[in-house]
Amino acid sequence: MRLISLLVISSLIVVCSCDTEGNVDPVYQTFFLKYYGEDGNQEGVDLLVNADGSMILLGNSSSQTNPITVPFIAKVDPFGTVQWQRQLGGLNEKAVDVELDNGGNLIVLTNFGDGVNSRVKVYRIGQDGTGIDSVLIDFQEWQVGRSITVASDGRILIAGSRRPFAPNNLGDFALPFEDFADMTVLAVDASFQNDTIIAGFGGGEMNGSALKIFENSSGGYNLLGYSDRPAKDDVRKTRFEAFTLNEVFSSPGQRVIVEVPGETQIAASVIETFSLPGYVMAGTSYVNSLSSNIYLVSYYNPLDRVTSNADKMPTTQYQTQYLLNRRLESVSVSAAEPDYLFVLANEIKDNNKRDIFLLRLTINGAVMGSLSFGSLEGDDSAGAVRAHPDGRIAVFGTMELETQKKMVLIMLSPNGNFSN
Amino acid sequence: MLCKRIIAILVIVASCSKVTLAQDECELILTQATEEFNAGHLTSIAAMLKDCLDKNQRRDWRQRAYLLLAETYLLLEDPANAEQSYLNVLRANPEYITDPSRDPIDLVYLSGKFTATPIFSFHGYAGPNITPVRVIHDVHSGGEPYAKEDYSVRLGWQVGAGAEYNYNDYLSGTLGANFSRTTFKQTTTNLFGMDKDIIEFVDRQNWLTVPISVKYTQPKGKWRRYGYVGLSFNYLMSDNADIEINNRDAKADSETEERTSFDKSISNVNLIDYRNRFNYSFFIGGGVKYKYKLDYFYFDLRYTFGMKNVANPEDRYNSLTLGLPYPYIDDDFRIDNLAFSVGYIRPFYKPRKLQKARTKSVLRKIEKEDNETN
Repeated sequence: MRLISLLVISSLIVVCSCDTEGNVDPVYQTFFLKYYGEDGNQEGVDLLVNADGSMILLGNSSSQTNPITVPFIAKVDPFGTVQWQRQLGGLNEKAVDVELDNGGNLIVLTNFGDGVNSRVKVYRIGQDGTGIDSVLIDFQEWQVGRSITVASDGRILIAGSRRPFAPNNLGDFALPFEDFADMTVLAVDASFQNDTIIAGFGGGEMNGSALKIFENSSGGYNLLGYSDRPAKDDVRKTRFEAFTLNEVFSSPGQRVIVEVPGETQIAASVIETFSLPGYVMAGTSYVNSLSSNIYLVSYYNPLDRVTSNADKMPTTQYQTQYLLNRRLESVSVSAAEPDYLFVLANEIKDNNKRDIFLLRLTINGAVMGSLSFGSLEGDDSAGAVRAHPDGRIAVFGTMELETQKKMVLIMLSPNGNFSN
Repeated sequence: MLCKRIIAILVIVASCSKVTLAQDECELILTQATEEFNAGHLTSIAAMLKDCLDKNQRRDWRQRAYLLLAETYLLLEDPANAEQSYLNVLRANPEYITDPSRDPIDLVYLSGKFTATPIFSFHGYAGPNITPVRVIHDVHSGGEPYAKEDYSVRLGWQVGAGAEYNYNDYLSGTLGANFSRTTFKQTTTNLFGMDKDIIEFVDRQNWLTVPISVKYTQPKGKWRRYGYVGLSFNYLMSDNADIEINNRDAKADSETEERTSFDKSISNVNLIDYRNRFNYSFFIGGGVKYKYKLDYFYFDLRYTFGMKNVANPEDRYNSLTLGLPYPYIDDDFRIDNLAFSVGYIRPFYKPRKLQKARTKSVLRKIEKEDNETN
């Protein structure tokens, strides 16, 4: 009878302690990995987090049989459930950036056409996905947009690069034949009626791109990017470059460069930080074609703290090359103020396929941890990383799922896990 | 060579004939002894049977011979030898039960002091099973609210063995070891759009389980029903899946809803690292056992309620981040199991004298029969 009593009691304990909806933590609702898309392939490029926690996923769609792309945009709630999704624009158009305008609408930047016919296109769409306005910027020259800044007066400022058409050249230098891409800022007025080239640096560099323009406290602008413009050493090598411009974009303004001697630096993403006032620019320092590392520079604001006037090298809060024994190429940087920084990169594997790599840092640039996402055989690529208002880390990119590529949204805890 | 074979056959035939002759002889002796008993010549019976008993006769012969001896010793008022003889009856046939309408009352009374109920019995079984999945939380791999997941059962199998401790004729406790292959299928539809991708995921799990149960059994009859409840402790030994991806896109230039499919099959994906390996279950079951000689065959139906989440929520997404490139993600789920088994029971009978004789029930039965007669 003792055995029977023991079994009856044990059975009651077991039945009472089983896993149910009530006692299994639905941790998957908060921390998850979800795929998004439609027919064909969809590749994620940018992520915008609204103040209410909803997110805008921006990518490009192409069919299984035709690589020509169409921008694809979706809105998801804080738990990753699609609220709406749609294609945007037309064929042969690639979305690159999405930002909010001063009225809370979405401003989407795309590059339309390719080769010498590449043009910049801007869309304004509502938070419910309805199109409001669009403008094609066409100065009859090759132009590629990289990012949007909505100015306080409502203008849309586009940082990117262009190969100047001679009559439009605003630079100080004659254009050599090899000149391919110069740092550029374009503008569209708030009503989407007028567009202008408001800053160009043609001729100084053969290859370069503005990444982002910021309004500064003195009424002017700070422009950050990269170029191969020669410095005091008169060597044409690509390195991080930044300008302080006045309110009328007097060219070229105060210029500063940051570099790793003997290596090539290409910037990928830049943000403004407030707990450590300044700008953090993330990029890649290439040792050679088979070795590259994440390179991060934290600038002061204002930028022009120059230690050597001749070389115009600014005093920085820090500039660090992260030697992690991986082949990494930076894609995106984000800050979770006031404590953390996240850098998203592509990790290039031995088979030349990519994984998505997340580096977690303190706001001062000290490494806290890292993790990578992606399959061994799949070509998975980074899009953007953002800090969610509720403290989560939002990682956005593309994953190759055997028969198709899909946009992927990965929501992690601040310590980089799928749980608290 | 041929000669050797013929000699061997002759030797076997001769041996069989010898055994048959001996049996016939002992049968004759038992008949004579019974006649002596009926004639009241009790003292010579033991001596008459001794030689044949020493020759280890057939089970039914020994049962009859020892019964005769037990009755003889009872009449000779030799209780020690009577008890020993009845013990030998049970050794010859552990399931022998006296019958008041057939046997002398003193023999029935004597039988109440003994039992041959097996203390332990061993069993083995095998059969098919199906594994219904009970979802705790529905977790989607895609962001669409209309994506749908359905589970269906697939045929698995199990084999096992165990030992049974018989508390009495009705109640017993069982401890076993069971290996089972469970399998189920999850089908995801409407992934990445209405009527678009279909993902078929077939999971095959190998479990080692240790079931412990309490069983109630009908003690008599050729067919005996039984029922039981218990717990089992389960260890997931391996978990492999086959995944079929039907990537269905709208056909280019097609005005209809026709779709073209880019399919891919992935076999033997190892999921063990993404699962909770230890689990436990509550089960109920029942069946019927058929008495065959002194052993049993049985047919058993058991339903097992899985208690713990099979998916490991901590590692749920690692399957996607560490190299498994397909759009499947584990739900939080428990698995049940419905198993049908055919088995064999080998009881280990142990004839023995009871410490507390069950003679009261014998007396009650006799009194009842007397009352009915009157």
